[in-house]
Amino acid sequence: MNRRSIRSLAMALLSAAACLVASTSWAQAPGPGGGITMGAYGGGPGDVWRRVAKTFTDETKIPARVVDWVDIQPVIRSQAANPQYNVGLGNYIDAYRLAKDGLLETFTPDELPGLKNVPKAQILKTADGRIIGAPIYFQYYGIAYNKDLAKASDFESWEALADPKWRGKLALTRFIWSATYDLVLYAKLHGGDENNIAPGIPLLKGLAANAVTVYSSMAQMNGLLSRGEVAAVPYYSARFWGDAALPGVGFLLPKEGGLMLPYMLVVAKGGGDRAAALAWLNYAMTAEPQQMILNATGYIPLNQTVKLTDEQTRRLGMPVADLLKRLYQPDWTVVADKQEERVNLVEQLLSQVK
Amino acid sequence: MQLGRWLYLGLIPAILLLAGFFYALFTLVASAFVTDGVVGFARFASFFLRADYVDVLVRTLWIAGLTTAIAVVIGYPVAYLIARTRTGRTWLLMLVIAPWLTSVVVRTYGWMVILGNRGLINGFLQWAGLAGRPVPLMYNSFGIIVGLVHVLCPFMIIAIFSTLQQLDPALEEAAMSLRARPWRIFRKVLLPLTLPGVISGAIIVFLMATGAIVTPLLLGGLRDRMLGTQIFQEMFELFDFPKAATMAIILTVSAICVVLPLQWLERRVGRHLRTVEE
Repeated sequence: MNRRSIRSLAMALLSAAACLVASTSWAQAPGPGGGITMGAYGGGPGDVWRRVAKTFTDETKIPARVVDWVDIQPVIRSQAANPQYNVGLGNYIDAYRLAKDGLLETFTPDELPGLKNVPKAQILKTADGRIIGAPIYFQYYGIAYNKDLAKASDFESWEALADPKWRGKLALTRFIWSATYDLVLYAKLHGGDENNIAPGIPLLKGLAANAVTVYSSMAQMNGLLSRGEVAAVPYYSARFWGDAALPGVGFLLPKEGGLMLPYMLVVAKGGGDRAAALAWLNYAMTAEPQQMILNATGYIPLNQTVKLTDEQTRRLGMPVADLLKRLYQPDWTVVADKQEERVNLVEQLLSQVK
Repeated sequence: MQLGRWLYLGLIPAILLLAGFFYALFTLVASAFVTDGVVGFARFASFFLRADYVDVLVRTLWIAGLTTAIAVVIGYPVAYLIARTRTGRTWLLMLVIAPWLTSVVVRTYGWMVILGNRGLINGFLQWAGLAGRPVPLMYNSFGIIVGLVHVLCPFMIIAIFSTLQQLDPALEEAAMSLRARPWRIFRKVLLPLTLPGVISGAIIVFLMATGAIVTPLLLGGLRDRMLGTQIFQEMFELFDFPKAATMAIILTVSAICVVLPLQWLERRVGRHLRTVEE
């Protein structure tokens, strides 16, 4: 094969690839009247959302497809010119940042009547008062610990994370989340808040001094905790519900309380079939799907009309009303606006920790 | 002639794809030189003014250099063994390439099980009474280097193997017949003649190590950030594309500073060998 043939072959392959990329992109776009194509976090949440989608389709005859993704922001940002998803599940920071950059549809209260059952504090709005999405459920930030290496009583307080006796035995979440969740929570515990995070810095540095690593995924952290590579870590409550519970690992909410982490469904701008997307958002805010999701994953409904069964309350450890009293809900718009600046701060602070 | 014209028409999608690719690349690179509408090097200055970023850059180059050196030391004997094996050479080559059939994430998770505090090595050391407490083999630079050497060594082996294969074994036999010892044969015959392969392998391994993301993320510790992981964070978590582009340019230029002298050496050695042959 001479050089010219190789060049021709390479160009032909590139041409074929270009045609393939174009055809697959066009094939996946929902388009008007195309129903729902929703992205959700993989694993448990994705599976239960597929079941919810089936009940929605059975009731409304609107086709709904749920696809697993790693994170909402990279997908919605990269698909802006040629949307493939019209609905996505994300946390409030993701939703606010996307809406601020004009990548999400926004709504009036009339379009989302289900909001009447959601606490006002959980309704996220743009600067001009438009509603960003449908609040669905929440989990909270507590402490997970390996039962062989630590006892629940060791971590009754968040302050225990800075105790030098745990040096080399703890872990820290990625800088983006330690700057967003840990720093804000620790600031609150020490008299600060989402606007004033300085009081939280000593506790974060104390935790960093004890941390052996930064975990980059839930799968990685689950492995580290269950194998006993790490004694404890600030972690997410929904990981400890039913089938998802990790063997030999406990989870607790320290006496000072924890951080509430709510999630919402959002609609991608230009994603197609806005009417179907709205119907889906309103359906997801009703009690039935939220019960279904709680049973399967441990994400707690934001719809206040959902009544938990005794079994669900037992698994949760306390009634939802009591839990809510112990959780701190910062103004996520402030947290989102200052996220990058605080990641830079945390990177520099933690690089000095010995 | 008619068919030729149709063939050119068929190239249009490829040209559009390449145009899109280069436009995106140009836009990204250009964004590093613009800050608030002003063209300049402000982003580069901000990078070098942050001590932690400079540490990350130095660490990246140091780890990539060490990984390359270890890959040469491990890869050369393996390549030699394969090149001089008469039967089963294909199987040995398959064995070298086999890890590529598995995702780098899975392979790195494997190292986590081996190197962890409760892993295979620490378990053995404590069982044998050689260590009273777990030896830190992971979540530090050592863990990253082990993981990178494992992932990248096949590139080195294949690069060296390709030059060794072209080398006539009679040269070694001639040296032996002149009573040269193995070390002298290696130093005076094998190494000079296979140097182009070693340098090619070193360039590949070094460049891949400087841009590593998965291995440092999983096997590195809190204080072991590398520039690849930093770019990943800026790109996919903070969506600060200009900052990611700045870091990528710094990484590329730093790597070029190391690679260019190696390429110069490779060309010089190649020229010298051709002169000797003539």
